[in-house]
Amino acid sequence: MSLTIHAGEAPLAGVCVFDRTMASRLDRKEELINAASEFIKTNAWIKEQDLHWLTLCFDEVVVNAMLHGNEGDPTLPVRLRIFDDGDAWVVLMDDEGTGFEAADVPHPDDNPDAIMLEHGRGILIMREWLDEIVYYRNGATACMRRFKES
Amino acid sequence: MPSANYMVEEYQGVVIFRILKDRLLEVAAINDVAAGLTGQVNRHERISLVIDAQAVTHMSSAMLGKFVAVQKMVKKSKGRLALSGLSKSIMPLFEVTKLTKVFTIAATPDQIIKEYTRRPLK
Repeated sequence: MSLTIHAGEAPLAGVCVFDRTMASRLDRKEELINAASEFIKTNAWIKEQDLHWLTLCFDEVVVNAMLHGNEGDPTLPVRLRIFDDGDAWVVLMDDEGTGFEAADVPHPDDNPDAIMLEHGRGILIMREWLDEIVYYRNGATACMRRFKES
Repeated sequence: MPSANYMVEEYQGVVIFRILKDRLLEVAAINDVAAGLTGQVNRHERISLVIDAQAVTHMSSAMLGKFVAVQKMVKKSKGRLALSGLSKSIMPLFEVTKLTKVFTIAATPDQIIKEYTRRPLK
């Protein structure tokens, strides 16, 4: 399963309804994850039983931005924005890194040896629940989309 | 040193590692659980290890990676490891990452404990 990584900036989808920037501090990541999760929950854009998926996707994307994108440098910020696109909600997660290549994220379907790697499962997990996840700025912006529950 | 994130019991040569933390998302908790597991594997020549994850409601990919690392250690020492009590919210993570092919997974710890005590490692 291929991973799409664009070189350019992410297109802005709909109206920006949430915008937070914070330092790359893993010990404080929950502040950002909880605030973003609470926003989506309060708007009833997901089912109650999917809350753990929402938390997990935010955790994976925030950790990737802080730890891999910004290499854990606490002086570098990450920015999380949520857009209301009408039928869907869209998250843009920016870091200050140089991005990554699709080959850095091996898929167990393409490479059976990848099953035993000790990293690289976050995107796979996010894709399971999200309707779409693509990357911009060579991988330094994650764009997650999921249709709202009606 | 006792941990708030897990407790360890031993029954007829089987090490039962019960995870007490519900959200395995924080780096500190993940590292603590991983260090606890590694310590148990290092303490036994050939371990029969049952991880009881009934209390876990959230688990990040970082924790999955730690389980894989422990599984490698156990295999290297010709021991055995099983996971049990994976909830409806956790099991899909093992399925989508194909880790169901790597781990023995049981509904309850008792099933594996019974199996391991019936066939002790020599």
